[in-house]
Amino acid sequence: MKKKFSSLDRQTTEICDYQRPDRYRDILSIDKCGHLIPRGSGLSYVAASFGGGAISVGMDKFNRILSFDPSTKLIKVEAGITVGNLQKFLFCYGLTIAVQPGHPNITIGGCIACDVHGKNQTKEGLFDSVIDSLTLFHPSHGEIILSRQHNADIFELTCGGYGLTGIILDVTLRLSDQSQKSVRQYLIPVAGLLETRDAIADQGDAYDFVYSWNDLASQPMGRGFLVGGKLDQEEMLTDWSFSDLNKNQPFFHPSIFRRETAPIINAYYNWNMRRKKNGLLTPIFEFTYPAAKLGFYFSLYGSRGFIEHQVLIPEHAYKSWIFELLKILKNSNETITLASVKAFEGKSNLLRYNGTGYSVSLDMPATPAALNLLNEIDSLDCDHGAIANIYKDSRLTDKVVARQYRNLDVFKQRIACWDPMRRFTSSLAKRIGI
Amino acid sequence: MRVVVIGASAGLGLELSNQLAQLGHDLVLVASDARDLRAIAANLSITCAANITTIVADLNMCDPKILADQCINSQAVDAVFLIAGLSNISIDNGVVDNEFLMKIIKVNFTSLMSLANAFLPSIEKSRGDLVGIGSVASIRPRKKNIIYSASKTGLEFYFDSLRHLYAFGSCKIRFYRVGFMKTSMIFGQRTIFPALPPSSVARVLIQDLGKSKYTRYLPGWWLFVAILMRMLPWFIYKRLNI
Repeated sequence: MKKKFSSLDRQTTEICDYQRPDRYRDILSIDKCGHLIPRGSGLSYVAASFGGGAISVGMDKFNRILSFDPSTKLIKVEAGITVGNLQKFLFCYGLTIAVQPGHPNITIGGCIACDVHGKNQTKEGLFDSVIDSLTLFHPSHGEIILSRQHNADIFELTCGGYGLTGIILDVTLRLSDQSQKSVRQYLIPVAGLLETRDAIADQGDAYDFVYSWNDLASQPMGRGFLVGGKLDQEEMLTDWSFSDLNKNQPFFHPSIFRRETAPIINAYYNWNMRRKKNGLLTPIFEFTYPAAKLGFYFSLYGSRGFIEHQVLIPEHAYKSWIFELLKILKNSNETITLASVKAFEGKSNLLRYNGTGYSVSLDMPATPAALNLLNEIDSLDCDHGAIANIYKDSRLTDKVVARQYRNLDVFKQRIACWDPMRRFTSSLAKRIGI
Repeated sequence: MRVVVIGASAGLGLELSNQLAQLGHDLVLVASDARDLRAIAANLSITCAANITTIVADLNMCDPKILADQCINSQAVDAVFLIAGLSNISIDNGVVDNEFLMKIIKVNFTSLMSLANAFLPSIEKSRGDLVGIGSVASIRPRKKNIIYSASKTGLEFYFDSLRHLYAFGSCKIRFYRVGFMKTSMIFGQRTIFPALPPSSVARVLIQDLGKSKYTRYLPGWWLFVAILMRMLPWFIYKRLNI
């Protein structure tokens, strides 16, 4: 069937062929010659699960737990299970997946395809660190088991491969202990983006999770707070419900988040957060998935949508990048509505968003002025050796990605070698020239 | 309760299995795809601590009597849900291949009738429920889904007879004419009336366990559609492209 798909940021919309198998035989007998792309919950900021002439293969019906052994802390699940549902199950056993994205409705397959990070990247790394093995299906290769020991090269290509190596059928995950049922939340005020980095460096180790909220819409730019979370044993009633980010927006939906209103909205948010008691006990669900109940945040940008630019800046270049960014913002007609900083530690590999430094997320309404501003920021990123997150930013071009990701050609070669017919493709893949 | 679900691997059968397992019933799940059954059984055993037995059987190939004996396995059976069904609306609209015709009739009608016949002694003994699933396609004959509608109507006729037979008997016979459901059977098709999620149909089926209701439209408003369709005079009906 034909279905209209839209990326979460609403920058890419396409009518695509869609299949939603509910039996294994339907997947294994899937279109033998057309282009395909697996689709989980369809919550990617960018068009990673549709477009490019491919049939989107919805995997959300494959959402079962296949085996579970609390003693070995291994769980085998189908790729369509959501992190929220899995976490809800593991909660009773005092176990968790160490790396989790910000919304509970994201599927495990989606986490692997983007090799997502969580709120404790420096401690836990990317999602691939919790994968023991997985089963991949490709019409030309059949089903193959991938792990660090078996077919390690395809395993590496699949984690953070944006669904371009095939359809993930099932995954065995390594679980971590987490007997705590709640999080104590601490807010540490910061005066700017440089102070945020210093606060993360000085105090980050004291918390189990750390991220920041910074206000770039009002003066002085960058002030905000660091959110530190400490796991706590206290039992709390957990509400596992969440807002559906895929809900259709009305045809015309005005943007509330704009240059004029952003300082007011941010000031209110800042006041609302700061009036909360330090050490406030929060259900672990709410802290793990901050976007779970914030569906309205995305609708504040209206039907025109928004752009999220997330960039990982090497430690040594951070100060200079911030200095230049503030200079660009002073001369810009557009405003950044939300900024957030996280520490990162790791090594960039293929197209993975990883490295050592600081990850800065910038959200803004999708306006022509914002696009101009982001073009300037792209140059700034390239000059500072930073990499932009491919699965967050809908407007990254192949040239920018090639400049930032030195292994783009290696990725392309390895994909071409594995899948010479290029059976798996998407709008995202076409845009960045894969 | 020990419940048998025939056609448990997808759609309504799958939802029914999930909800029954959550209620703590022991299940015997029958479907043609071994891999799907394994996955469903594993999931329900892990998440609901349910006692699940799986039997792989294709209603087009198997002997229903042997299948029923395997399901019963010398134990009591409290309820049997005959959910399995097969249709292909793109083919089933005129003169069709005989093999296809026989397959549709076998899966939707004769195998289910044989299974019901084989299960009845056990159900009588346990004063249990025998539940059949029909379709709104049986409301009035039309030029699409011809064999499917005919076979579902045949099954309904058989259940009507059982109802008469057990009107004062111990077991409860129930039959539902189910409207469009959001399953793979209608995936990608435009339906003239809204489709229900299988989970809500499964909920009603479970709520009705032990009750002596009969031929219910699911959802209920299909009754009015049925009355209207039947009242349409032939000179109008023959012009409808439904």
